[in-house]
Amino acid sequence: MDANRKIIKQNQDFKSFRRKVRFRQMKKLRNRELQGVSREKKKESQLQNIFNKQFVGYKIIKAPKIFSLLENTEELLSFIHKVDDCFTNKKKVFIRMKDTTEISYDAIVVLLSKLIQFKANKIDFNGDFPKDKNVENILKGSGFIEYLYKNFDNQDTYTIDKKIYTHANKNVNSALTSTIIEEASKNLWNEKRRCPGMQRVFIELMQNTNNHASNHSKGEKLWWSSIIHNKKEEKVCFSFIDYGVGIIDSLKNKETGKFARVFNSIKSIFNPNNNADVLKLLLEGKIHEIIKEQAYNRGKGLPGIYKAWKSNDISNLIVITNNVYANVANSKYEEMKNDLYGTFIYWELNSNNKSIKD
Amino acid sequence: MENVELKIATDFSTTPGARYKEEGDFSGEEFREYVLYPKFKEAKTKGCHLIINLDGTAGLGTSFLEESFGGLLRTNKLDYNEVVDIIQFVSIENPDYIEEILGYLFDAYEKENK
Repeated sequence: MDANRKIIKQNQDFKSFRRKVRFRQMKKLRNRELQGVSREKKKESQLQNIFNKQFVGYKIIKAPKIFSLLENTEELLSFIHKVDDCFTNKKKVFIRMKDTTEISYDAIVVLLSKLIQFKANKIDFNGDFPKDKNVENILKGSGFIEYLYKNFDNQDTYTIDKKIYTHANKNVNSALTSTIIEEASKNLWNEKRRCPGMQRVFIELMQNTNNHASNHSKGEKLWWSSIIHNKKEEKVCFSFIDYGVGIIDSLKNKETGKFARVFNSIKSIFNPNNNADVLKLLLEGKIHEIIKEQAYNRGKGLPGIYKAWKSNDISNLIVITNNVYANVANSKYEEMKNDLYGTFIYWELNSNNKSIKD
Repeated sequence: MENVELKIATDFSTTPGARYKEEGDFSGEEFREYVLYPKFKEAKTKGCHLIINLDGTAGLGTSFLEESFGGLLRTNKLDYNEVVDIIQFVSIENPDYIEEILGYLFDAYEKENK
């Protein structure tokens, strides 16, 4: 018995010694690596080690320095694709935002929508804060952080500090958008006003989400909207995003369905060079003229939004969908390298736009 | 004879919504079924006009208007000329709505008679 215990003790001592030797060797190696390295860098390296231990199995995705769909469209779309890939593969994701120097609400909406998508599907979603204090404050001020630690159901309605809205229960919620407009009007005119043209824009977008956003079934997709009051420039900026098939792909899907003749007519009559031309035709209502021959009660949504811009109900209309970027006010319609699987619309409301005082 | 009056904002909703009931509250389908069509029948029985006031709402979507008025021909199988004779529109806030609705009625008439 004693002999056995002695052997066990010897084994334990040997293992303990081996651990100590290995630890010393590792320490020596680490110290050698850190020779001549500044204290800050050493701290950073230590933090990195802690991070690596804490976030094992996370895919790290670096956010663009300019985190804005409007200002940095291509990079942000590429970022969205990376996040989407992780979602498809059910991979935990860590968004590295520390180097972000500019941020806008439209992109925060995108980030929030992704966060909820991950959390609702029980996939971990995490990230760090931008080093830039200004950017950090905007992110924190958006209320985004509160949502980082909540549990979600995809079918909820969320309101974040009256700046970001999302909706899924019933896709067309005209009462909600009317309230959003009232709030915006108070910022611009210091009183409640109605803006029927802008309400129409919201209704058309929600309706489009319901009809075209998903190929699978009606009402499946969510829409998101951000509202921000730019006091300096005296305007309220709106963005609306849905993740569906997008406007162009929605039309192209009709190529094989009951609208096959429509798409062929578009090709033969207008001879569009690319998708950017197709979007322009859609917005200007030229395609609706053909669609209504076969489905007269469809395809009025986009021309309705375009008309709202032309009638000065809204300003500075920008549409990003599939591989097309359209700055309607500047007549700039162009194709992009990266696709948006869905539709993003941005517009502004200022005191020169139409409103009705009750 | 006194005309029948209908104001969307007070008789239905200040926030009319989408086309169909399943798409959300205060849809065009709901408006046509429960408000517009009964009022139209009332006006027809009395032999007077139906005056529809479009003002006072938060805004009217294209699908709401098309389903409400185009649907009178498509779903309720009303006669185009009868509808255009009986219904009269009022809108001080946005007169463009009137032209738009008349366009939807004509499109629906054309489609039904093809």
